[in-house]
Amino acid sequence: MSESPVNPIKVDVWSDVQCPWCYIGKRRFESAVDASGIPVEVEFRSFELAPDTPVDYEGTPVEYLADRKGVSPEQARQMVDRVTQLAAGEGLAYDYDHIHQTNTVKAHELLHYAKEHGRQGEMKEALLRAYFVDGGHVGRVDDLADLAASLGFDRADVVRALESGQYTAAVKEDVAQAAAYGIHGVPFFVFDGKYGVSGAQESNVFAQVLAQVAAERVDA
Amino acid sequence: MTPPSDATGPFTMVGGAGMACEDDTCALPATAESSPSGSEGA
Repeated sequence: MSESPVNPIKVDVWSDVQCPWCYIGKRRFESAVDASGIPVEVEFRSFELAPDTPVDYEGTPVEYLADRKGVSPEQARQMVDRVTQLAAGEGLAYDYDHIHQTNTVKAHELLHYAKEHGRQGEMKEALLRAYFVDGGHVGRVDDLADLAASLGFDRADVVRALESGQYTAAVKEDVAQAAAYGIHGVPFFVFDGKYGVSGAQESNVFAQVLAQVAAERVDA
Repeated sequence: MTPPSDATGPFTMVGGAGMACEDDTCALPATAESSPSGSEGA
């Protein structure tokens, strides 16, 4: 019987808050971790899918999708319905009728803020849930500060950090690192800086990588 | 890690392409058959 590695396996995850596959992939990864019992240390890295999107984008996600993809509203709705079905399979109740398409740079800054406070994982889950499930706005500083406060963070300090751009450079460093690695799609998982998994793979793929890394540690 | 010369240069890739977002619309699939496994971004 193989032993669990003493030290957690480091998993870097590049993702964006408004990436539907990132939330689905997160659930599948977590399922694999839970099943394996292998300890992991997860760090979420910033990736901006649409950095040119205005914070207060006017329109629905379906309208946004139809416009950007050049498809009909009906086709866009079919796409959204399909990903909603897939998310439901992971226990996630996506609510595209109430999603606020926005710019996510401040949400990424908040993730870096939370990381500095040792609570990044909790914040990541809260942001994804707010965006895809609860109809929250993850682009405005005030809304982000409210979300952070609901988790027990110091609201005024969050506002200060976000308005000052304290973590903007950290976000851009993650984005630049992804580009340097040639990462063009998210989610993208890196295990121990060695193994890469692209996209929302099935849980068994994540389990395979975890077992591989753990086995290599035992053999070392 | 040293930056790669190709898309996933420094890493041993596992699992092939998954559903992902590569642009701001995440290439959402209309059908199961056309499902990509991730969102790819700009």
